[in-house]
Parts: sequence; structure tokens; C-alpha cells
Amino acid sequence: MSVQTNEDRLQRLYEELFNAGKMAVAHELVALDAVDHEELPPGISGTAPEQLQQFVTQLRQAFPDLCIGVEDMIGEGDTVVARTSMTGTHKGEFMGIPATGRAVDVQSIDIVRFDSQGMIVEHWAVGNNLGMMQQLGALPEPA
Amino acid sequence: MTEVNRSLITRYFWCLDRHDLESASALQDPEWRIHGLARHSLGLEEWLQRLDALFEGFPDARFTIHATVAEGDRVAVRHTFSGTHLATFCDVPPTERKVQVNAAMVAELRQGRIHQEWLNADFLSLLRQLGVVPKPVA
Repeated sequence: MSVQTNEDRLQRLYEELFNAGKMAVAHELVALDAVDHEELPPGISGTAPEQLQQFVTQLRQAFPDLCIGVEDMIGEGDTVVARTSMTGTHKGEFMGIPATGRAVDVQSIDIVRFDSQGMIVEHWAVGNNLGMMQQLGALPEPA
Repeated sequence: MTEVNRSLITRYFWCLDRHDLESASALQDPEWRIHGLARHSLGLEEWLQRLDALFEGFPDARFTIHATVAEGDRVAVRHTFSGTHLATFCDVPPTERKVQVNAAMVAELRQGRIHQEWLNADFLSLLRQLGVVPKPVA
């Protein structure tokens, strides 16, 4: 699959699965045995697309107006890197933190590897976890 | 072009790995800024202050590249920071713990120099590894 196709597919993952909650999209885009190098919340199980569905469901329950926006994509060979921003209002329990009603806006970098069929087979991510905790009031911000 | 850009970024990390901030900043253009280390983007001086503090807290600090992805005028780098907490860092007295922190950055190059960077580093994990923030209960 071309870089452009992979970038389009990753865009669909954000827009349709994360932002619109269309759960079936996970099976369209993620290989059954895809490897996620990032730790998922406890209690999530099943195939890779099923795990992603559970993760997205939890995230959307925590932030019902969740919106992941892509600021930039860099693609080469079988890999696409997406620089994203996630916004949402904390209306449900998230990582043990009860709903605060606060708005979050955090940046993340996702690295996604595709196979020749355009299926996602591997994922890494580094997000502003600390910023998220600070915006939710769970950790103090620096003076 | 992507190979030239990738080489420049690789060299940039090599300078940071050696704590050679003078050589690293020579690869940045005069308007260089970095996003992701604070609410506002940082310029050279603020960034140098933070790196000085980092190298003081972690004198054996290393930056290791795991993968690069280059397209057009951007290069993305998945990397890790590692080091031993041997001196006070962010008001945390030395714990002597070894830390390893995942990070990723995207660099935008203009005319052969780094114009701006977006950096994400797992600072939450860093604080957990230092024992400042409790680890999540399984």
C-alpha cells in the first residue's frame, strides 16, 4: 500500500473510530495480531482490534466529546507517524480519576506500521500523559 | 533530500547524546523553537537551561534513536532517554535510580537546518520511575 493510502487509513482510524465511535472500523484497519507497544488499561483483552475497540469505548466514556485532530503526518515505507492533538471534556472516570468536568488538550505522536494490505500491524505512541494528569488536576502544574 | 534530512537529525541526536549542546544548536536555524516541553514553545536559551538541568540531574544521560521516518521537510524520531538520577532534578533529591523514558519527536527542516521540533516524552513515567508519583495499581 502506498504511503498516501496508509495515511488515509490512519486518518480514518481517528475520524471514524475515535471521533465518531464507529467500532466496526477497528476490524477494517487493524490486523488481528497487531502489536501495540503501549500499555492498555487493565481488563482489556481479545484480538488487537477488539482491544482497540475496548480502549476507544473507555476513552469515549471518559471524554464523550473526544476529538483527535491530526496536525501532521509523516510517512515512509510501511510506517506513518501522526502528530495529533486530543481534546475532550472529562465527564467519565479515566485512569481511576472520577469525572472532573475539566477540558483537556494534549499532544501525542503515534507511530503506526502497516502491512502490504494496509492493515495496521504495529503501534507505538508517546503522549503528554503528564500534561493530561495536570489538566485533570491529578498532579500539580509546575510553578 | 530525505536522506540528507535524516542524516542531519541523526547527527543532532549524536550531539545531544554526547552532551555537546554547542554542536547541536549549530544544526538549528535562528528562529528554532521546540514545542511540547511547556505550555508555550521554547527558544534556544530556555531549552539549553532545561538540558543543562537534565544533564546535571542525570550526568550519564543518553539519547538513543530506535527508528526514524522521513518525508519531505520532516523527520520523525522514536527514541529513548536513559540515565541515572545522581543529582537533584526538578527539586527531587538524587534517588540513584536508573531511568528509561520513551520519547518521540518530529523535526521540521528549512534550508538544511532544524526550524522547529515537536517533542513528546513520557515524563509521567519518569516521575514514577523516580518514585515521585505512585505507579498505577494493577
